[in-house]
Amino acid sequence: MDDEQELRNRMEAVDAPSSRIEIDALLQAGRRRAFRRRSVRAAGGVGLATAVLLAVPSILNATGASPAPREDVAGASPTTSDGPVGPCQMTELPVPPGMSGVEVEAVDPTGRYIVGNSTVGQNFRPVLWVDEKPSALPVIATSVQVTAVNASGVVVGLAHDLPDEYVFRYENGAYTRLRTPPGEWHVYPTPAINAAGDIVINAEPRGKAEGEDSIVLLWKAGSTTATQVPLPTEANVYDITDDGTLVGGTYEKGYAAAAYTWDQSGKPRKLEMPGGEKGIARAARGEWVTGSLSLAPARWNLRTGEVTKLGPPLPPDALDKDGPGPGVQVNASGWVVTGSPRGSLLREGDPIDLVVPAGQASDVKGVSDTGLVVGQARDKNHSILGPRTWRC
Amino acid sequence: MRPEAEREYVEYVRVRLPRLHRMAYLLCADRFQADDIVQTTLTALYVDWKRASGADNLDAYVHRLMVRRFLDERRRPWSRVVLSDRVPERPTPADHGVEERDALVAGLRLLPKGQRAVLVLRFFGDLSVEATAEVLGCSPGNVKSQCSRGLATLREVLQTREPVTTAREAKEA
Repeated sequence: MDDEQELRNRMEAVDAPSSRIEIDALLQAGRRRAFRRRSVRAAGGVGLATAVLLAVPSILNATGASPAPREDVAGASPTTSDGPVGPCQMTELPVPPGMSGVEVEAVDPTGRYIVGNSTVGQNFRPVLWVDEKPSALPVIATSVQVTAVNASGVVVGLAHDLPDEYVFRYENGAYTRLRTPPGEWHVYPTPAINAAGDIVINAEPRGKAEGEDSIVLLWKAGSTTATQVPLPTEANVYDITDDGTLVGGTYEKGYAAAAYTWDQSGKPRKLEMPGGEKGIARAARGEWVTGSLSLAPARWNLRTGEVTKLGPPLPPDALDKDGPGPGVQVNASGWVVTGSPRGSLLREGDPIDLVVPAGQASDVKGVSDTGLVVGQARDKNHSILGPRTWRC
Repeated sequence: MRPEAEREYVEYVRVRLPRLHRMAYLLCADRFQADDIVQTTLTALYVDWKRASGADNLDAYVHRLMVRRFLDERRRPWSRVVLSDRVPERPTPADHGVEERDALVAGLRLLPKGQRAVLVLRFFGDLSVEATAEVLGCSPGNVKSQCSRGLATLREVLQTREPVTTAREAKEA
């Protein structure tokens, strides 16, 4: 008998142990997860009661060389140094004609550029908003997914023409493919870009599914040739700051170990990890770094070295691993966007109140230095109602 | 979720659950981890049911979700932090005597995750080389080479164990 047929037969005959999973429990887990997403706004209301008593660092003073904020933002008291933040008012973001299911992905530090994607089947279709005017970007591959944009409007993302996949830069109406070193590489998770236009991502050899032998690639602004950053084995990078600092962490046997920043020569700075906790850094802006520490979203201050946990840890036995996600983006004032499954906006650990119509919930994806929040509104069934912005 | 949509979801899961669980067990070779990825896959499916149920091939979509969850543990920092805190609370797979009773499962456990995923998708999921490549995000050539290496390793492992089985069966007979 040939090997393949024998393997088929034996797989069918494996005596699998009984499953603990029951459909009722699945339904409860699914409903709870959907419910938790709906509860984000309610939780925000509770947090606000104490949040108003706290000072908020100035966003406007901290932006440095960023372009002037919009007039309505500049005039709003929440952006001054001592005022409360929120409630932040919602605006619908228009989508290109004929597109549906568009989801916002990121905003640049000035708030002028926003990127997002629509889907057709399981493939992405890219959208760029400039001053909140949307345009569908050209589709140059089976799937084109935009994931970040800088203050000059340079967009980065991932293109898939299976089995081909690559990082691209979109600038002045044209795509540029960014080359990886010789060999077959899988790039992950998504590229990041800084103000100058430097782009970073991790890559692992094709077929190595667990990040084994992964490397960190850097394309300097305008370049299509990657350089490999000399980092330790199992180090991954998720963001690059405007001064070129790389943000990420190390892994041990596949598990997050410690949050780090590195300069481009590979010189490390280990971020504070109190009590032997484990964690990883995901993003940085100005003096702030965000990520996760043990099971909670966390924020580090690069100037003082101080670390703050921004939420309660997720119970280890949580059936659906739901709860506050890791910090995935931070603005110059230290406001933290938490990632999936709960896209919320935290200031000093408290959710900022984002106004949505009754029966809807906000799902935050990014925040600019000017206090422009981007994301989507979802209905009570967690379906996407469309891209939205909130002004804080 | 609307009651009607929830009924559709329950019906789908009721029919597919045993097979999804078996697939997860072949992938993980660990009953607890298998339950975990089935649970997370089907919870994600619940939340995304409206979109997923419109997929051209729902089974392929769910298989893809599950295999990505199996493979992506290393790539998703958040999940990895969660798992690192959970692992010590569990016995190691070697402690589950039940899992050693099948030589195939023991053999699968010796393979790298990528090879295991290829073999399970190809020979349990009955996916073509091209469809497997699409699920895994790699080239068909890569699927073929992983498949061939995985089969070779399994053949070796199973052959070395075979005489033991044969001797026991002979004794019982």
